[in-house]
Amino acid sequence: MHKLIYFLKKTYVPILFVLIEIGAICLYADSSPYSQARTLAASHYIAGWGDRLFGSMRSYLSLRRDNIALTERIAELESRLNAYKQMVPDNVEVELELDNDQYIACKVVSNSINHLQNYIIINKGLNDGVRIGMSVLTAQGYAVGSITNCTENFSVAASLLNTSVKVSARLSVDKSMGLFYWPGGDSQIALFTNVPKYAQIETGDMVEAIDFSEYFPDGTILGSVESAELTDDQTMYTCTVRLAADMSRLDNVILVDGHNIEQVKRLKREPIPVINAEDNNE
Amino acid sequence: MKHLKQYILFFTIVLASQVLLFNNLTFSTYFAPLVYIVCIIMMPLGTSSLKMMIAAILIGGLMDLSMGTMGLNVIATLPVAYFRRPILSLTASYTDVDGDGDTPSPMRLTRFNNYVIAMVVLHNLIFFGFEHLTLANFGFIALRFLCSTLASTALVYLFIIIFTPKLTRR
Repeated sequence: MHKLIYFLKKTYVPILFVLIEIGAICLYADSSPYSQARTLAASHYIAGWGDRLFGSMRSYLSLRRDNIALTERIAELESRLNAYKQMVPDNVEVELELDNDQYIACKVVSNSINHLQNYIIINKGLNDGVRIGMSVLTAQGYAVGSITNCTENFSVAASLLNTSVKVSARLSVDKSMGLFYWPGGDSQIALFTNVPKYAQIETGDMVEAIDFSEYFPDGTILGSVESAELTDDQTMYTCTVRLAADMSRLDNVILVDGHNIEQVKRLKREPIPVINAEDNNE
Repeated sequence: MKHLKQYILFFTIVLASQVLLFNNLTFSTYFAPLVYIVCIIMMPLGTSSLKMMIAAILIGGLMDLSMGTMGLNVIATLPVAYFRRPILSLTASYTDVDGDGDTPSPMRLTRFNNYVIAMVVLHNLIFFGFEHLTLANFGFIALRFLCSTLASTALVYLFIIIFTPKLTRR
């Protein structure tokens, strides 16, 4: 307490200066609609500049980790390619049609993990071909989020760490389906619920997205099962899932536009036709 | 405080001329002299940072009331008052002349001009920066800043020349 009083005695003038200056700025900012708008724009500009600065520092510091991850990814893709080549007879030539627009590599400008509704800001927008609904994946192909809004040069994605994002998913081995979502709290742990009680669940089983999940292409890895327990009514499993993507260290991500989100959404909006039992019998 | 009566008279004349004369000059948008900063410039050299800040809040607040700019003059005046001591040590140094008291003057400070110009430029930079808060129309803002700073500096010098003999008289 004495130290605090001594500290305040020593530093009260600079503290007062900062407080009064901030107070005057707030007063001025609120004095007219013009100054309100300009102050807001200026503060956004400064915040954006800070985000960019810290983002580039983070990317520089994570270069080594990214290089290792890329090398591993290349090795994995090479081995897959070799496996495909061995499957095709030597005398058959296969032409692969690559659609470059389907994959967009970009950088994360800003990423929050400490709210219930977390969002990621990405440095590419409409001018780069980004569209609402595209999936956001890590360089390793793990699920991260889905684009919800775009401007000319930037995009916002709802992160997996967003309580309103609910993904239809299945177990990669057992193929039992369920609902995957983040309940809030630990940024590495999500839940996989409504899994039938007959499912064979093992710790470490991968949970992957289903094609009609709205958010991710079929087979996108969401995480791995850590534990599973039956619900109170003993009819369903609720699994704790460790997210595959490290959401706190996102830097380079890939946007994918390979699934039919709009068609799925349209189907969901349409009323379900009533099937008449007598018609079926006929 | 030594020369208290002279200081009160000096502050009254400066602030009155700012409110009644310079705030009402409308012949050009590029010309907005802010002479009241001379009150901070001419405060006695030994004045503590806290007293400087109180003076800055009172002067800035009065100017805000007269100009209808809520907080803008305080925003500009407060840092100038708070950082006066570092600005002084960076731009000027004390002479060996004794007997002029604590009042800043060309006799008491070498490179007095640098000190005055630095104070006026810093004040105008903050004032016009916060007044516009944007880099759109940069040319207009830069020209307004330049013209107003030149006018302010000239008028500040005029006040210093007129009042220094009174404030430094033994």
